[in-house]
Amino acid sequence: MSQKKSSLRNALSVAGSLLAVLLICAACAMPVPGQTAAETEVSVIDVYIGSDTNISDWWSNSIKPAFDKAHPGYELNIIHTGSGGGGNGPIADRAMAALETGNDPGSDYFETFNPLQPIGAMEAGLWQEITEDNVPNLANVIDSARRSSNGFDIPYRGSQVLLAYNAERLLQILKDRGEVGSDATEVPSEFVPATWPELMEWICAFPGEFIYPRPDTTGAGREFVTRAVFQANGLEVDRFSVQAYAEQYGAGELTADQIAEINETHFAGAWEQLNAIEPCLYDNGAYPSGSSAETRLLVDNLTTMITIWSDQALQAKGLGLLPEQTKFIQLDDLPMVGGYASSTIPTNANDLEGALLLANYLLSAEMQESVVREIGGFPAISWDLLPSELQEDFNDVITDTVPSFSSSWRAAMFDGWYTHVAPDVERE
Amino acid sequence: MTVMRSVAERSLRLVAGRPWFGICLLLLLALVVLGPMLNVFLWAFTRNWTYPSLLPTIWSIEFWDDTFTRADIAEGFIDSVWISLIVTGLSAIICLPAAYAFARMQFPGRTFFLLSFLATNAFPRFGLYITIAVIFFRLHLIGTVPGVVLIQLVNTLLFMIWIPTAAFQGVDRALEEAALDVGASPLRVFVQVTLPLVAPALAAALLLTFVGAFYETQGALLVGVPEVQTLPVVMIRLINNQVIVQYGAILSVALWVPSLLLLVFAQRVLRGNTIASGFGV
Amino acid sequence: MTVTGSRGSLPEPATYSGRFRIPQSVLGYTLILLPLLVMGTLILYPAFLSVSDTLTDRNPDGSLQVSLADYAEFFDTPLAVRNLAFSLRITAITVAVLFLLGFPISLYLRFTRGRLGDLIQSLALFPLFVPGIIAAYALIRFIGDNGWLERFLVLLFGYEGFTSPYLRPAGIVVGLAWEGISITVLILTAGLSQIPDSLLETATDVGANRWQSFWRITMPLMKRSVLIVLTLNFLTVFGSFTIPYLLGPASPEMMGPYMRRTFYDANLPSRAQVQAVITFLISGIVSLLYVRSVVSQKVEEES
Repeated sequence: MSQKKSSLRNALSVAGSLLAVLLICAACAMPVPGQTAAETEVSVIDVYIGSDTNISDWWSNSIKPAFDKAHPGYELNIIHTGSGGGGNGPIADRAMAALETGNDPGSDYFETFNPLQPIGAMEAGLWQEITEDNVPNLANVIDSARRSSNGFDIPYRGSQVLLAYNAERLLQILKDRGEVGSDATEVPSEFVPATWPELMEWICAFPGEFIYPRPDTTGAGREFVTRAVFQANGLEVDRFSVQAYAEQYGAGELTADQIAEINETHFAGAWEQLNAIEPCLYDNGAYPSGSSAETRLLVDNLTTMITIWSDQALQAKGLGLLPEQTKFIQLDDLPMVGGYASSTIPTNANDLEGALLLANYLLSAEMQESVVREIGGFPAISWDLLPSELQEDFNDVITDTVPSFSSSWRAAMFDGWYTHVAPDVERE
Repeated sequence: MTVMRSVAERSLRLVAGRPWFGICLLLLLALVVLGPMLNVFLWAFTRNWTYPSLLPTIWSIEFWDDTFTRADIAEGFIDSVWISLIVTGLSAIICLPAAYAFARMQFPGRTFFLLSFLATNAFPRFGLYITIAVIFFRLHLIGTVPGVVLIQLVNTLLFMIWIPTAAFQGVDRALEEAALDVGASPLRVFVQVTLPLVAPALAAALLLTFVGAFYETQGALLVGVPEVQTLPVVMIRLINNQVIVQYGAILSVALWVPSLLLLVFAQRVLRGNTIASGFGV
Repeated sequence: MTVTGSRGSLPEPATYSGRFRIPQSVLGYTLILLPLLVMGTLILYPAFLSVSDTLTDRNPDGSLQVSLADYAEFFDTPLAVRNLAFSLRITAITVAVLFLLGFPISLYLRFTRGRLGDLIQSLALFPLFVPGIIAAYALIRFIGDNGWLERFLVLLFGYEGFTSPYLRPAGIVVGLAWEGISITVLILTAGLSQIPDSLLETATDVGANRWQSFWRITMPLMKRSVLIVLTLNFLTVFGSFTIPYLLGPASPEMMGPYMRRTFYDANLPSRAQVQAVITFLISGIVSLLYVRSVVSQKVEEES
């Protein structure tokens, strides 16, 4: 009995302390939004960041100081809600509820948000329509960025997938082959691909030295495969719009015939190219699951070239986590671009005027340069409006052509890749 | 048959009570079981670790701060704790009265119904989740907290019914009857006599359920994303798509703490057989 | 679970002095109704609905007719058949590996007392307390290309020929074996512990006759535990997701990742439903064996 009692006490105390620890942790981890300093006469703009930490760092460290300085009387309050699904969603729900009740929404600016959410928000008039009247710099936004917008959001930074290569390793391979002298210090430019056809040639010229991840696991794989699809379709990027899909295949689940048809008509050329390079890939096509595993191959010096999200690449390079001689390239003929991040402004914002001012400021040449330099993104305005030295520095990655590729096409593409490309690899 | 028998016979001779076999087994298990965990532990304190060094080339704790200030991790943690608490609470409310009934009441089909909960183990888990997700899809429960709670509830039924049932059955009725004889009310007998006796098993069932829900990955991934991201789902994202591998390592170390507590708890209270009873042994 | 006390002896309603007595069976049914309802809605109904959905086709006029077309499509898709065959092969291998690893360990633990045995038991049960997701992450770092294991082999033994099982079929087997070893040992030791010492002692002496008594007496007594372990491992491995998703190759895929990809990435939910029902049917016999062996054990215990 006494033994039973003591084991009961142990059981309860351990269980109790475990729950207590968890609850305390939950309490401290709870974010405290909307802390505003109201002593001075400045108007505080609450900005909600629904992206990864490098984006919120960039807002806190670059945009906020610049904006506060350029617009005395305003002060940005940066609140990070995190990437991934949750993110800004609850904040938008709150703004929506506030719109119905007339309460304070507690938010002025959503760094990344889809104006089609929450359901019913468009009809209720939650989001501010963006025009050249209230955001004059919208006039400079390029067509490909506007295409992704419905007029109630501000596309302000593009994300892109780059090719990253370890120049030191490549140079060593060239030396071993006698393609360059043993005293060479740089990789000659003819050994670095600049277009898609050159990349395809490069991959098989250096077997085992290139890899891309599975397309459904990361944008670094998805954009590479998408780029192959564009190539196979004569770079006709408008063939893959939402409307084009709906017209050809409707909205329901694809039938077996439609799946076969979509692969034959739109993807066959891409599968052919990707199958052709497969024997030349790292470990005969050891497609990693996600960009983390893929990047390890570069970091552990197992391969020379990979595909990688530009913002992650710059962040990791900055922290010294990539090989020292890692260099980045973008394809000249058509880049691998993921799409644009768009901001939204609720019509019931505390300071609507300030929020619109911020939107306009983000589309200024100065901030668009920051997009390129600090987060490795793509500008939403034309490169012509950016300083000429920036254009020179980023000569390898410049383009104003950003293709669109809707999510319905993506689903079919993922399935097609697994059916037509991946199974050819035999890895026992 | 004779070959098989002689192989089995020889292996039995080798195995039975030989210390060197035990020591080899111990070393092998230590390498295979502890090796990966130790490796992750080291990664959590690493800045750079180049091949072929056996230990990190540059040690650092700089990523710890970054990891815990990441909003997705903080939010995932809160989501996970709440969802696991709700699942555990709900499961207790649903199952514990039933467990009492199974242990103490006689009704036709009692054994059949008790055994029917084996159905939760009799389906290949992920296939079952897919069929549930199809229904949730129609009911718009995909990407909602109720959806995640319900799918995680499936896992908890067997443990939450079988372990407490066995515990209630294990209580010596003579103690209760003695208390009733001296005039205590049935409620009082339940609270003061029965409950303390079954408490360790109930605590074990609750804790196993909580920890099970806390770490449940596949159901949450299937019906939770993208709106609801529990910590294991965030972890999948970090494993797959975070170039800075330290985040995953640090989160692994931190995530594992509740499990470690369970391990300590388990050694004090649970006998292995309690867990085994949840699998029908 | 050892059940002690006066189980089987009925509670005496008379000891509770109540004026209106609800019949015990009514009360019992009321209390067990809720979990049965939950099981019905979340397990039996979805499974039933998927079976009926995939077995019927809607005619143009809106009426339903029984049709095996969905299943014909599955077996006409080479990738689907390949993934199914692959899943079965990996499952069979993993179940065998788990048994071959788990049985000697359990046998050893049954025969051994003392610190060494305790340590081995703790280590064998350790993976039970490591969530699958963390195990997967740890194994990627440990067995991956240029991982810790490879570094040890190269630096300590000069062995260069290591091929990482990561992203290969072997990676799935390694991961699932790591995860499953605890339950295997747990169930087998529970089974062995039900056999009286006197019977086992005959087996520790290794004379041929004694050996035969082990083979004839101990093994039959173990049959049920062995059956439970084999069937339970089959169901767990066949229905697994996290380990094959994170450690396995892009192709072929286990049914778990394949179904998720079909449901989610390829946006073909009704195909995923067909795949799910096929996993039910394939594992049906195993499920029945599992349920039967557990039931016979329980019934024996109860009586």
